[in-house]
Amino acid sequence: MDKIAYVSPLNPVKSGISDYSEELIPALSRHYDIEIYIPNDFKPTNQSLANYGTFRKFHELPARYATYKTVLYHMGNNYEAHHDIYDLLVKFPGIVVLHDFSLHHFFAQKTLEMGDQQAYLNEMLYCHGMEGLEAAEKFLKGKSTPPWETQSLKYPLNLRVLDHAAAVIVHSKFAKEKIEEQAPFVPVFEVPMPVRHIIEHDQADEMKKQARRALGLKDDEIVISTLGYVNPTKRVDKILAALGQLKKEKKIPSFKFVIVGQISEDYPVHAYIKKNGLQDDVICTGFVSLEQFETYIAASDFCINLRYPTQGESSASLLRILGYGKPVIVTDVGSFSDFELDYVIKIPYDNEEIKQLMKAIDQFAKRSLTASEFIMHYVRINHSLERVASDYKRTIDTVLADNRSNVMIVVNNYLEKLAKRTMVLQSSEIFDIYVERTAANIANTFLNFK
Amino acid sequence: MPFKWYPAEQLVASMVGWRNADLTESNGEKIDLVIGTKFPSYGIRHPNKIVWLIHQFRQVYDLFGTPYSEYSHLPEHLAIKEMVHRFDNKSLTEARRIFTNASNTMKRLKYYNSISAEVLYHPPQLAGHYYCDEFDNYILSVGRLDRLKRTDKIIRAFAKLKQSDLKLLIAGKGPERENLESLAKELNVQDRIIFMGYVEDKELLKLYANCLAVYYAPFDEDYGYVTLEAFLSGKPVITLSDAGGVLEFVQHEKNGFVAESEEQIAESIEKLLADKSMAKEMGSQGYVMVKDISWDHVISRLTETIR
Repeated sequence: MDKIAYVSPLNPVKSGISDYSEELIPALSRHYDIEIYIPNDFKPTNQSLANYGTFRKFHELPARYATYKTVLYHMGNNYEAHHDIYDLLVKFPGIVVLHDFSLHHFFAQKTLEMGDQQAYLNEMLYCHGMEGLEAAEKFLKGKSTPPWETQSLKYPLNLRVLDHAAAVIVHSKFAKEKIEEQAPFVPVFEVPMPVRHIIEHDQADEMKKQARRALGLKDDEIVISTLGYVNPTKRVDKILAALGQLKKEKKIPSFKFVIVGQISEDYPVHAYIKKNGLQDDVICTGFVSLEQFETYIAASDFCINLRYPTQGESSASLLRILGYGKPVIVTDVGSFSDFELDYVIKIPYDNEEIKQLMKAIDQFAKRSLTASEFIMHYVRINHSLERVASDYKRTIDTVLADNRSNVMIVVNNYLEKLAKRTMVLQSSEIFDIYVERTAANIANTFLNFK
Repeated sequence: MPFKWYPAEQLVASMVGWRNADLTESNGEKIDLVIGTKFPSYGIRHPNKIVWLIHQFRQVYDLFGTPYSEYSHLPEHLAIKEMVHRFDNKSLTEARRIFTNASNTMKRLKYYNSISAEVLYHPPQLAGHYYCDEFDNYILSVGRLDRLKRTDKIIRAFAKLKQSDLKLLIAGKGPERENLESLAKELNVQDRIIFMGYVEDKELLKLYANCLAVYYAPFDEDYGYVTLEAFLSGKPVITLSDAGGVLEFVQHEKNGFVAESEEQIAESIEKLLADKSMAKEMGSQGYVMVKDISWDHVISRLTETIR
């Protein structure tokens, strides 16, 4: 079996990517001899991973790099979980699994939170040219909101990662298309997220009954849930407004809306509940274990999984919901737009949002829904762990067959050295002509991807 | 411009350097025609560019993944491979005509880059001076001593010979010399093998003129002057069946031997030694095959676009 290095956050680092890797490694170990890289002073919670690979420390990677068929890096937007991984992936290129299309939060933490404004400006210039630099300057002068809050997809700050990756794996068609447009030199592949529990259709009714009993929810009420860490991007205020209006217009029978997950301190959800007169209809669970999380899904008639703005990420919650075959209302944005399924209703995030939400809730509430066999079938085919592992295998094999490689890995090194060497010539006419000609020739010789 | 392929940035610098060079005019004089030959010189840009392809950067083509290439599956290496392919595809298709120095070069260009070309053979450097004299008791091996030239094979074949008074003269220098000398000692044939190092032209002509046969079996060679030099000296050539361009000329048992193994190389030598008139006849056949390859023809084809 080919040997690969696997570099990812693992528990106890709190990240969806830790859970993801701990599910994936055992499945992938059927195809590869895996060495799992961890920080130098780190003890993984899940010691059973040792059955599927050999643990190695980060400092061992440089010496062992050339012995691997490839290094699989898992990169996300959380600085704490990924800063070491980022440092390795730019030095020792491998295949980067980009869990978040936008890394703006990561770089904001890496630069601004460390008090280094210049590094932030440099990164915006590197990734997004003069336009990016101007947007950053505007923000630093206090003339605009932080770019990562509203313009994260416009300024994803991911170019340095793309420049240094042998290939990139993303989880959605949306992210794949964005990268192909932005960095056509890097080979990019879509490998879907795995769904841990895909239940059988004939179990759904019984599971729903049991779950409701366990959670103290009535059988004859409509149960609607929204799941995952609750912050303004989950648009719970909009859901509450829609439910409040439906209740006022008596267009919805008796229901419970369950907000499953910890609520962000700066998001006054309870005030919204009160404002919409829903005190008797809403349950806030606070943080729950993964097991309880899934019990709430099982108990629901349908779920609402909104997200805006988005970092281009795929939603693990959404996939868990689909694994239970539950109908779901999502925001028509980013990777969420990829789903072309009955029982997945997509709504806009503009001023039509509440109106469309009401319509969708009404539609689902009127039907006596259990679970969609069609959704379960779709998820089983596209998101089972076996399917995901074999997609990884196929992708890695394709990259290694060198059908296409990322030339920027070498071009960048050349340009950096050239820049250092030609520094002394700066602002002379000869230098300008030389740089212009070199840039044009590099572009038309090596970077023409039409 | 000297060509250096290491480190990777230097290889890029070489390619970019040729792309950047402006040869449309020099000293106010228009330059009518530019002929590119080896990688990366054919990257030069000119409205009337002709390529007469001698070498691509084989380490990222047919030699990739073999011990003869220093490039592997590492992302940086794959990136270099892709860059060279892109460079070749772009700069070769800009040319108004593409010739190659050998059929092997042409086939490779077609296979790896889907680019068609026409073969244009040229005579070796000392054409007009080669001659045939005696068929003495030595085999001549000519060429740079690197692994690709496979000089080790003839040394191993020598160790298998029954005849003991035959000598092997190895003309040329290179990084493999020490290894080859050790090999000769190891096989106990060091007394019959003479490493001559660099040999002056006149001396080389004489060595060709008086040898029994010439051994020349590089791995998948593009063209290989040595074959032509041997034939122009009226000598048969012993080669291997994967020697590439050499096989465009050497025909088994007609003007030389195409061996499959070291044993067969040894057998071929035994045959020639036992029957020197056969060596003479084969050498004559070789001569007839290459005698008309001339510079006049080459130049006439290369300059067609300005006439």
